[in-house]
Amino acid sequence: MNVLLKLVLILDNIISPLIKLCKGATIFCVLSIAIIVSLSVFFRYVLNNSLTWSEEISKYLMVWMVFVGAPIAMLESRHIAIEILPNLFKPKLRAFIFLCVNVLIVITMGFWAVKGVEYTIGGWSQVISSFDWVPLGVVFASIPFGSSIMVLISFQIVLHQILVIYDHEKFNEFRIKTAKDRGVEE
Amino acid sequence: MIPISFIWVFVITIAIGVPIVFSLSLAPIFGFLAADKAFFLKTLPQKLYIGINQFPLLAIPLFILAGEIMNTGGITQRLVNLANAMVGHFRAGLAQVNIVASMLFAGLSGSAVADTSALGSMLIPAMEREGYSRAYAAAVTSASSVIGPIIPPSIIMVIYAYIMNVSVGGLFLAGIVPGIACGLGLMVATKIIGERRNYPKREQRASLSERAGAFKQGILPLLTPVIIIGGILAGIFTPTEAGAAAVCYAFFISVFVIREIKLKDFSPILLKTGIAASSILLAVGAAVVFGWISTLSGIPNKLADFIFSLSDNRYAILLLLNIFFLFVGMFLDAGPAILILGPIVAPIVYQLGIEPLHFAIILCINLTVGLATPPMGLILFVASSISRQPIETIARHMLPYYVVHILLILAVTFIPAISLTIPRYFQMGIQ
Repeated sequence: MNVLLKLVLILDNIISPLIKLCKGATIFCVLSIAIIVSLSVFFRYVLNNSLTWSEEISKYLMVWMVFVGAPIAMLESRHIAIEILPNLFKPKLRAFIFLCVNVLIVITMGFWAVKGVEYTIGGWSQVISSFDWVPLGVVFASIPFGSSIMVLISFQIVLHQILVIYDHEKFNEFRIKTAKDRGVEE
Repeated sequence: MIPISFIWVFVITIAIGVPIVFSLSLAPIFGFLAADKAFFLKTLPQKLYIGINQFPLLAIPLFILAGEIMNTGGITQRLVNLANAMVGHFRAGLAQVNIVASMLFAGLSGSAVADTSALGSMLIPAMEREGYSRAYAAAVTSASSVIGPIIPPSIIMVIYAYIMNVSVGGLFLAGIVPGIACGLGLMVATKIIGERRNYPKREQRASLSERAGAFKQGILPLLTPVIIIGGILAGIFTPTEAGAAAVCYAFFISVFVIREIKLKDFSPILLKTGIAASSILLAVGAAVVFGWISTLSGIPNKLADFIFSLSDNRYAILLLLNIFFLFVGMFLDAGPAILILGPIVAPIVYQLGIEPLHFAIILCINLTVGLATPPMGLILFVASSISRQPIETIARHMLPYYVVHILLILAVTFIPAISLTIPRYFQMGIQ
């Protein structure tokens, strides 16, 4: 069990910097989206000169925003789940169900990560139409990037739940770092 | 043909507590594997990407951002002051203020939960000081938060319009009258409750100069819905650009006019917006993938056959659907519910000759009311965490307000003119 605990702590150290990166990227994406869409209106009506790239680029920023924001949302348990049924059970069974839930999430996001890499490689031969020196894969890469971080997070929860089931007294109090602990504050 | 067993994967994973967004993406993976169509698995990332990479969806982060800026920048307080000057002297004055403030706030924000948390944290303590029970204060706040996504702008309407390809502008217009009617209905119910329970009433009306002052303070934020709706109607903005205009306008009045917000406050606002928008949009992308496999498996046709086998009377079917939507709304969040139900149910309803906008508004109102009902209701969760009252207690106090909600749903369902008159007048989104 000590090995598992060590692994959980190592994962903490891997996830924390990634989440900080996601935080910065989320702020950057939202800010740029707001500025670019506003500028496009301004250019069209005030300067009578449409920005041809604004629509495309703001969409790509939004795709990145989704995949850097979703891991943070996951750490904060912001993805809505219906927990009426699991809450009816005793703590140990509940921990087991929560373990299964996170195994399913590891599988799902692992799928997106692997297929996302293939998709990104395929996208490397296409280009962004407004800037034809940038491969479209740069946008697709957001899918495997965000999905892999979500795999790490849910994998860490799986390990934590195994610890909780193994020794409830000792590990129930032990908490995985939340987003706030990782220096992300809303 | 894909066997529909993937639906069971979806239902079971949701029941054991897998977040909806992951159930939506797990079920199609399972479905294609079970059908031995591994080829389709390869195209799933592309479906997900195309599902998100859409210009109309940019309206979602932008409207959330505008709402967050206004909420931090002291605009909520001004709206409450204005509502207080208008209706504070009525019986159960603060409860009425809560409802009117919700209607005003609904014109600035597109989300019910933002409404609950902004007005609840301000008005629930204030109501308690005046002698209302905390549970009742939370109930009024929750009941009136339902107005938030009905009066435009509205995030769930942006989602519906995107997934079902109807006009966002038309849908926004269709929400105006039902939203105001909901507010007025809740005010009447509050008056009756207030007189029975003898809730406080301010002795003095606000003087004319007090009213003028509150109006002067409130007028700038209140111009936001005028800019959004006016801009869309005049053809100046697309709804996405209207979102950007709302952000700029909110930024301008918060930073230069009210001046309660500092530039360093913006980084948490941007982060909060990004996190909220990303969880909504990831669900949109996953739902597009889910919708694709449901179409391939022929679920819409099966459901249509089932419904038409029950009845072919359009009123009976609409009534049944309302009950079904309310039931689904009790468990599912409005966004995912729209994404799952819209594409499956809308084609059936169109066969009955019902206007797409009319159906859209029926679905949106049902699912928004569902946000304020137990056992799963985000509005109730937020109200419960602010007021520290159990959800069941708040829900019990809401019973008279649920009656208003249900009357509203029935009225909007059976009298299409309530929602369709304004879009028809402006010829927006009506076929």
